[in-house]
Amino acid sequence: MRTFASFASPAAALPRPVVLTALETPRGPGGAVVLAIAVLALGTLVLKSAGPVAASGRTLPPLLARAVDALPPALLAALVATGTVGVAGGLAVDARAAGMAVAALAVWRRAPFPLVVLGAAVTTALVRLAT
Amino acid sequence: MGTDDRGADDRPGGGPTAGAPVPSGGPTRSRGAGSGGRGADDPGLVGRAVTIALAVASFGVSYGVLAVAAGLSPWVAVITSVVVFAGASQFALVGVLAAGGAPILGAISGLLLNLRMLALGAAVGARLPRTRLGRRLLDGYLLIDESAAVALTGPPATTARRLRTVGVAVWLGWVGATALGAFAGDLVGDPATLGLDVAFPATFLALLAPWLRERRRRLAAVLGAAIAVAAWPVAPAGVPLMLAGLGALPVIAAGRSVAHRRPEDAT
Repeated sequence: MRTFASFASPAAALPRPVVLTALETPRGPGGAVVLAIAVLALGTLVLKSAGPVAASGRTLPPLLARAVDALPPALLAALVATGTVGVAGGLAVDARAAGMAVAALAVWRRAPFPLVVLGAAVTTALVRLAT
Repeated sequence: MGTDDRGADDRPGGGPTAGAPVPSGGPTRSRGAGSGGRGADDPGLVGRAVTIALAVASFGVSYGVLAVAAGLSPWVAVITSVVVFAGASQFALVGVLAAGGAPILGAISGLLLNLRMLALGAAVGARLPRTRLGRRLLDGYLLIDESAAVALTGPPATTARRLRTVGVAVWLGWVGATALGAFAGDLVGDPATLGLDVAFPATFLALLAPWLRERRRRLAAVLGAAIAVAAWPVAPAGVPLMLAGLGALPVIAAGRSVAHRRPEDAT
């Protein structure tokens, strides 16, 4: 567990020696697992903070400005679509579609946000119960 | 909150129209502007953050259960939620562990899933004031799909507050629920029976809606969704969402953005 103590501070970058120690002394959860967690944690922090670290307070070049304007709707829509019809290894129209239809109606009628989520969840649960 | 919830988001700048990252993120907006002072006129924010956090928490419990089932100790399960704090990629990691695969492959597929944070991070970052490096790293740490999506909805001056409010709420829900699942997993059922898996696409739909009013963004959304769905059955996890970014290409290539055309509509 000693190895993990320094993992616990969220934003602090992991000191390199910890990773090396984990590699050399495979014990506890297993060196390979510790290494995998460290790689995922550090890599994720790099990916997530690159934007705030580099772009904040800056005037973006026009091409990049257009990109950050158009990428969020593309990604959000992809999350909506794959979360609605995506299953492990394929696509399926199931109870989730009913829930999302209710969510879409709620969004269109400008229902408050919690109602959108709750309506979708309850509808989906009811359809699952009935089928 | 109530019904002004959405109004609060949609009115001030027509939602993400305020996203005009170039004019508003420029040097004129000084450091203090976005760091929290303006949040008082943000009535729905806390309710919204709590709703999202509860939905996320229901899956944090699953994560805790699965992580322990995959062989991690309860404490290590909780620590992964703290140090990684990116739900889907953590599921990818423990999925590989549970299947007996090489742990590093789990980390790589998790990172693949998180590649999209580069794009979301740039979009959010462009609306944040320049602060100390530690503060910016912390903003990056709190950046997840949900906090980014809420941060991008509304006037740029509220971006930091939105990001941090939702980020902290989701962090509490995610880490707390991981602990609950890891230490007391037997007590909790499958969130899917309650329909909670749909809470995610429903959340993203509500957050996407204001973007759809503008033609180019609508086009990017339609293309992104179509690409992701087409790629889903054939591409490995994480790749469809990455490819969805290609849906923005025609809009990017099409020249002058909304941001350029209507700089002052935004605020």
